[in-house]
Amino acid sequence: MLETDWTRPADSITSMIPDARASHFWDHDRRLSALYGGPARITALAATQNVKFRMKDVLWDAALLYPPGVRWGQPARLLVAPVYKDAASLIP
Amino acid sequence: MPGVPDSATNTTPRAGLLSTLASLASLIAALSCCLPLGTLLLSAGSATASLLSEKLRPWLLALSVASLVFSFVQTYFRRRCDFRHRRFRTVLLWFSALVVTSMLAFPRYTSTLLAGHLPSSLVTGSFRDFDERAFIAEFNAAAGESRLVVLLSPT
Repeated sequence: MLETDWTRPADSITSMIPDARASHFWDHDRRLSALYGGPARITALAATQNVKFRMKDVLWDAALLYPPGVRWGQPARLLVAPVYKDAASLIP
Repeated sequence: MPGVPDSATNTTPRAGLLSTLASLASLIAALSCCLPLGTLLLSAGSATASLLSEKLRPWLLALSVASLVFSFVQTYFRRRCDFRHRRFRTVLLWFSALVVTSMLAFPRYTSTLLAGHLPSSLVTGSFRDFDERAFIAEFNAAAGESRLVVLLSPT
């Protein structure tokens, strides 16, 4: 996400999301942010947004909650950033 | 993709901090007997840097171990320091050795403990390189459930 993410962190020292259904990706080239259209399209990404900092050129430290039935390309129900401040609101 | 994200625990800063302290301890200990500064700086940075890079980790850890061995040789076989300095250095060296050894032998357990969690809460998993098609396919395959997409920086 950031310029300092110059290489993949070691799995052995990285805590993963504690859910067997979670997938963890290393996105060195920020392709997911690009897929979303970057910060310029942030207002179109979710019906409700709680963004507490300004993103410059990449979408990061953000979480998007999608309800059942939504497919890729449709807006999320909720977008929060930074994640740690609103983690509780992301639990469906 | 559901789950509770926690950007604060995505990495283990406390592990990095302790490793840094261990390296700094080694640095101070060695400096107390005027060892070559270049070698010491390599020693100080390598253990911590190994936490950040999977590719460089073996090399950096090897460098850490080599620096520790060098320091042990200086302490126990080349007794150039006076006793007071040697005792101070010995304590710091053993502290460094303990931390580096535990990071080498049990990196995940050590990181989990240093992050303030019990090893029983250890979560296994690994990164996959991001692939747009696979990601979108997984996203749509789980359309019957709530999904959470979280974008985090490890640094």
